[in-house]
Amino acid sequence: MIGFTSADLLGLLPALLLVLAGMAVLLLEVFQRASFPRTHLAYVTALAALAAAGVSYLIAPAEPQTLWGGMVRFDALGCVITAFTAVACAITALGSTRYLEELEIDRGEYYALLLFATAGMSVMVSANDFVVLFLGLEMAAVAMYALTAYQRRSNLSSEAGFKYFLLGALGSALLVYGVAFLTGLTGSTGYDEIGAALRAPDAARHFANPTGVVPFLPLPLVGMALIFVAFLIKMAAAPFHMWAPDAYSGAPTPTTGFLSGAGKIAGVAALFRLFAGPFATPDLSGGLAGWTTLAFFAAVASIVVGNLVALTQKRVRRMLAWSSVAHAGYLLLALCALGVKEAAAGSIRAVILYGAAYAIANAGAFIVLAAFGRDKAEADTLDELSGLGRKHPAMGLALSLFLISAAGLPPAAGFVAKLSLFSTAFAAGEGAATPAYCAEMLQWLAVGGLVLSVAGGLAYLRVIAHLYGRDAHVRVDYRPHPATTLGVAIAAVLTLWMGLMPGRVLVWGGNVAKQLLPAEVQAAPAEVAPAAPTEAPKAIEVVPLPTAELPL
Amino acid sequence: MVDYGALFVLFLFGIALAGTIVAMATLFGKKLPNRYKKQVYEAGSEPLGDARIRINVKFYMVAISFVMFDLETVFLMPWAIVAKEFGGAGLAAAMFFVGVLVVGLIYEWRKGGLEWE
Repeated sequence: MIGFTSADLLGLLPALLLVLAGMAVLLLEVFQRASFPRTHLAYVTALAALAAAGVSYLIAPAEPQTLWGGMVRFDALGCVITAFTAVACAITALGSTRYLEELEIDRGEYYALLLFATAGMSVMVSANDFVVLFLGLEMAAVAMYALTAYQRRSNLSSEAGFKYFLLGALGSALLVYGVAFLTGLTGSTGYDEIGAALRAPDAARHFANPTGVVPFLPLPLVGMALIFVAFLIKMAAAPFHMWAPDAYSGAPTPTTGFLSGAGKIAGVAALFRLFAGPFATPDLSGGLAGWTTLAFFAAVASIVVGNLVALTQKRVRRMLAWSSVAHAGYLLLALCALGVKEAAAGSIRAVILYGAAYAIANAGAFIVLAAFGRDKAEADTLDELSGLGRKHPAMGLALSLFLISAAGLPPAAGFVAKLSLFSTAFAAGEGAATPAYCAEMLQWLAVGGLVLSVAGGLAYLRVIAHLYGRDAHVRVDYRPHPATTLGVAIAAVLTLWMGLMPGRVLVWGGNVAKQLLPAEVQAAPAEVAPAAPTEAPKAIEVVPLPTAELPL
Repeated sequence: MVDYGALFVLFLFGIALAGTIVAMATLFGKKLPNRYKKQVYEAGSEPLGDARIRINVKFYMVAISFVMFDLETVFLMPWAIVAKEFGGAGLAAAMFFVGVLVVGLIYEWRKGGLEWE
């Protein structure tokens, strides 16, 4: 236990790189004259983030490893998510410099906070222990609170930061409370130990009534539910999304793309690790009946609320904020499919592609929006955007591409991502879940989600229609900067690449699934697919505790 | 339970000692009250008025600096006790930790956080 090896350091190399770069940016900031522009820090940040992405691609291990005495899991999931959040960080940094200059908040701390947030996300998805998970989560969250309130002379930004902080702190408290339950029951904070204890043959009898005082309370389920709700708050999934529209529209525009995109995929990746790891039943087939039921309802609520409210919004950033709630719902839909073992691998592939597409396109969309502005503010209403696509064809085209991706239309990445997500969710309906009607509900959710994503798509298309509208707004213009162009180009190329040739990302997703899922599940799909209901009793025998007490 | 007996004796002794000193001061001490001595806070803070007053941001800077050094102590003390067993790797980790704090200190110094005016 004492000490660490070079393998330990290698596993956390991307996070280490990001932290060191963040500290370097802080030092660069304070040893420069205040009047000196900070554009070069944006390039340094982008370079460091891209380097971290490259490193996590290069070091991705063929076999999952457990490092730091079991506290960190070094596998494809951590590497892939780190890579994509780091790329989103680079895009955001590049797109921020001109915007920050315009608002006279051009300081190096901004870039350092971006890097620290990315490092936190990397630690969070690599965690194999609740203490490390919490550490990473807070590292990302504290940096993101500060980023949200970064425009400190603006009341709106301070209000956004404060709301985000209060709700985020509540989420963190719930997480710790949930972990306290699980640790109290199992005597450990490690994922592996907790998973083993919860899956022990007599776990149900033991945990359902540990004290003899409350005979009917399934305490592990209470802990899991608290942890899950904490993540729902952090991901802005309904019904815990109320902070999101205010926080996202008050934050500096480029950061909003990073917060809503990268923040969400890091959260959902950490949830996938929990679901496929400590909280999973041995063959995952009991998943839907247990706490996946919560994911199901959160997914339904998020997709309905997010898409429908997005349609009514007049301000573009608010519209994107609401539709980010819907995107959280789609990611949770994939999480539901993880509970059906035939669809588990597919759901992981889908969530990797969807998360990557969403994080990149979202960061891109927000940096283009940040570049469109008037005087010292940015363009916000639909009318202000009108005609900009004609005036600035390249930027208009890029923004359209990102919005099309978010709407789920070809040729952008969002199309393939939504396709694989909905087909996985639909296929999960054919699988064996306990009870069986859960799978059927998942099919209905897939169909309903598809219909609602058309509604959400209209909200995006309306923005594009305004971009190419006839009556140009006089005062709003594009503020050009080479860094912005570079950031938009990176985002656009990646969005198109994932849309036209998604094979590579799907292969990475397949690797993640292979390393994340237990061996029994991976063997399953080919053989067990159609005649599955007979398997149900086996699952009940192993983990019966979640089934009994849920409203379903 | 027996192990805590000594602690309990210490507890009683503490109360008795403090009580004796306060009682002796009250009984035999010289009393010269004035307006300032009778105020609630002898530090000079205004005891009455609106609770929502503006507090100078400098105090937060002091508090943050305090937290930084406080944390350093909290983490380095346990490490110092077992430093020999932890060996080179432990030393490297502790030095990295101190290094991060030093960067924070440099940042604070350059930003003017250490100056009162």
